[in-house]
Amino acid sequence: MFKPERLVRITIQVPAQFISVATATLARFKLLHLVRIGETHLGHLGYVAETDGDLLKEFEGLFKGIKVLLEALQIRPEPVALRELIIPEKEIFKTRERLGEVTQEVESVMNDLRITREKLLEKETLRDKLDFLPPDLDLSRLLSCQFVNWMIGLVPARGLEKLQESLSEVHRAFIHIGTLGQRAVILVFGLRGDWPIFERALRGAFFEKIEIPTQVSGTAAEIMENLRSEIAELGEKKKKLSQQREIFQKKFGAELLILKEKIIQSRNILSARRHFGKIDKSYVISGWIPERLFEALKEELTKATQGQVVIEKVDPEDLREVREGIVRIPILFNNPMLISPFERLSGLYGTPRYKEVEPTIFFALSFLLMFGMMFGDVGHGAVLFFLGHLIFRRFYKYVDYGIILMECGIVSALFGLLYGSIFGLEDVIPAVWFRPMDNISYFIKVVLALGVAMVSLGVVLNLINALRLREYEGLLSTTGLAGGLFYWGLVGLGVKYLITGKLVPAELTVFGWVAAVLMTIIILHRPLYLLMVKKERIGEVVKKEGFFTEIVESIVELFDGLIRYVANTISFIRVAAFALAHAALFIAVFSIADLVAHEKGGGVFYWLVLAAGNVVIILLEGLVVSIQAVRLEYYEFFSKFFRGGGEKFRSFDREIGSEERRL
Amino acid sequence: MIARVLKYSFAQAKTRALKGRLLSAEDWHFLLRCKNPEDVLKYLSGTDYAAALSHLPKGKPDAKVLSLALYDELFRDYAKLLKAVPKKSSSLLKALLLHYEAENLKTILRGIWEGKSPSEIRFYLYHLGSLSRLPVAGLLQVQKIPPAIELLKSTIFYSPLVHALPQFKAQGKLFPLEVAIDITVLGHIVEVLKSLGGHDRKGTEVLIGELIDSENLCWLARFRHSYGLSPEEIINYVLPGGKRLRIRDLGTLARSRDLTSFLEALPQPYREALMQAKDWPEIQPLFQRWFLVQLYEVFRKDPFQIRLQLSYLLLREIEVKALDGLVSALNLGEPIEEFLEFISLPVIGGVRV
Repeated sequence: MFKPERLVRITIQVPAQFISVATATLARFKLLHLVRIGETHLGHLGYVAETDGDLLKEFEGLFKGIKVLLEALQIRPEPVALRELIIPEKEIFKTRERLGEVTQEVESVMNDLRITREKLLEKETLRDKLDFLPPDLDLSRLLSCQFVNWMIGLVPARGLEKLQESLSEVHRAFIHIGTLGQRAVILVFGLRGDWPIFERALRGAFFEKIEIPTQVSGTAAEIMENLRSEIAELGEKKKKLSQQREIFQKKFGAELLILKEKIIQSRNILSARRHFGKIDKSYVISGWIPERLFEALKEELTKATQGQVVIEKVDPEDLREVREGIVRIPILFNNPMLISPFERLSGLYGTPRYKEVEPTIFFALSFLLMFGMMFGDVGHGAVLFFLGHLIFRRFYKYVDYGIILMECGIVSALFGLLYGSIFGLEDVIPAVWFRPMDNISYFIKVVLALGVAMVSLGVVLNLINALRLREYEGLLSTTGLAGGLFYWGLVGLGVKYLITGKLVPAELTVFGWVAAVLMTIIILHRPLYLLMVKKERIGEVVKKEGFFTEIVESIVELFDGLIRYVANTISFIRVAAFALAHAALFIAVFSIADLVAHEKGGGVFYWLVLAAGNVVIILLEGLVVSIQAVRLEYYEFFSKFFRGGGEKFRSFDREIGSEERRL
Repeated sequence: MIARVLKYSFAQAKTRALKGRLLSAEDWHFLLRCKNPEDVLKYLSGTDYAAALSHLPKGKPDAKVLSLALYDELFRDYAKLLKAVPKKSSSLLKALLLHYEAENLKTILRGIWEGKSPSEIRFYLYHLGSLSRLPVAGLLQVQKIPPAIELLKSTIFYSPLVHALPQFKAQGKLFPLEVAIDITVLGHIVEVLKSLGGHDRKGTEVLIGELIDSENLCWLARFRHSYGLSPEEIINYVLPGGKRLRIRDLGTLARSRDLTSFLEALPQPYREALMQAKDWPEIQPLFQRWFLVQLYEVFRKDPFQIRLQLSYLLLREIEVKALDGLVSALNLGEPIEEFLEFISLPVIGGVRV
């Protein structure tokens, strides 16, 4: 949890006839970070494998087909776990046949549904267009005109003036009978002899003729009546076909999702082969896997290839490229389910190096604590929890955010209990701890203590990182042990003053001397490091180029660093500020609700204002509080210890899958 | 005034610096004496175009590739000025750039209509990069026009194209869609102009009005004499909002019997500028030469308005078009004298080089 997974570099050599089964086994294991052969020495020499392009194309075609089918049947994507071994060369036959059978069974119904929908839309559009006609307009009479032609249709409203001008030299009658979106519905009359001019002008005006069936008789109202009954019939047909689709959904949904996953896996396996090496008739696969999986993988591969596989394992420390920093060991996080969603947020700041402390657990716990403190309300917490639950159940792509939201909801509700607040009402439940608005100065002390704890944790983690990465020079700097001791001394004095209200002069004297020593160490940390660790002579150190510049820089860094400690700690006051803002917003909402309550029908408006106010607070405050919590994490906490620059572990199937999507 | 100076001080300095890098009369003197496109390329590699042309493959340049590379320089200027001008005024430059977005859209629709492959179509597109808002990748995957239009829902082209779709279906040609796209661009420029603040709007109104007049006159000439369209159809393709040509004037011009009556129907100063025209195709270059003088005039007026950047970009566009025309003429082996008749070149003090 505090460290990423321990990885080993493996190299697999497998004869060509077993490559399918070997790749399938690796895909099933998932946790392989593939090293692209093209980027290695072997790849530079041209020993790169090729893949079966035709087979890959065939899978691409099947993928498109199944996507269309899933969309037509409105089957929602859900995660599917495949247990069996996927061998693309075999899978293509199975998938093609089954997909063909399903398509054949659903095709006619789906086509019928599509056509019905189109017809319905067409009729509804016509109804909207004809709706503008005066109901008593007798179309039979219009259709029997002998010397006059007429047309009804739509033109862009902006073009009306131009249309008038283009017909200004012929006899015409224009009736603008309505507006549909950005278009005008017009009825145009002209002499039959001039009609070609009308047609040309109307063509230029992007005129869309509304077709009135020639066999119609009677008034516009009668035509509309017919249309409405046709629409009702089509609507009924659409409903029946939709029911049929639902039956298909239940019958084929799960199976189609499995088929889709198999197609994706097959495609990934085939694509991955481009990143393998090939020497003569053997494939070479190289990558990183968790050490704990090595034996199991070896066993599986040996079984699958009938013992004709050679697997080599190398510890990262034994690799020259790793020691020289040319190759970075990928980072595979190892967090429990409730913490792992926060990897997305901590990952935004950067990926830790292999030997660095993995900060997600600290991020997650402190984020939740700060969120709860700023957004403490039982009712709001419950709303957030249910929103999170909804996302968790319905939108599998956003499962991580669903979990985060649920956790935020729980801590928010817990703090709501501690503050005694439910939907802003503070007289319903008692406060287990205290009410923020009544104890502002106490609250500020609490969040300052939280700030001290977070900054101190940052310093400790920085010391651990420095030791793990052997950056001993940093131990004596402002962000190292020296700076940390100074900070803790200062905090100790502050705490004592807050508790007793006075400081003994001797304490100040001792602190002054300790501070002077620590500051001297911080300023001279670089020369001290060279003298003590690198065992250089004092003369050499002093005579080194830039010695005095370094000292001046250290002095500046010292003051900057010490100010930072104070600023970082004080910055946590925002936790209290936003918690108070949360409570203050409620006061504003209740005040507005009380005001409207005195108006006519005020009882209803009172509750409406309360409901709307709560929605606004949840959305607005929720967002602001999240941003502030993340800000505190990044700027006040992570900046103390996080180095970053690591490479994220990309599992074999995901890496190839995302690469395919990019292509 | 002080606020305007503060807002535009950097932009106007930047624009003047960019203007100083336009091709000079001397550059054109030598460019017009080039014998082939390679010579033009060689000469341009010593000018501001060097960066854009450095990516071209070695050997004889492909005319289209070279043309697109020249336009890259224009788009680079757009990007620079969009960053330099105040945000509100930048919408006018974006609206002007929309013209190239429209050209790309027309190219894509034409490609889809002719059944070309995505890579073939992409080859002909202007390299707008991050300046583009078109869903190009999606459009290139579609094989029919109506679904392509559906993909444009988030753009300003959607409604006009949907409205032009029935005519496209009835006529069985792309022309209605292409006209709809062109009208949309100019209409959008007029809309954006109206949304600008006091000085910016007043200062630019004249320039944009003349630009619209220029487009209307060119369309009138082209639709009537190249496409053989009837006056009543053409009138519907013009755009209101010009400086001196109202709908009624445009109607009269569209109905004019011949070039002489067309020129006589023009208001001043257009009549004087176009009086030398002996044939319809000369209308465009003659008007553009007149317009060029108006663009240079802007640099002598109050520089703390968006019209300065607008003028510069239009000048750069004319220069790029002239270079494009020169390369095409050399590629086709046409005599330079003929090419000179149909092209507008930069001027010094209103006199053509």
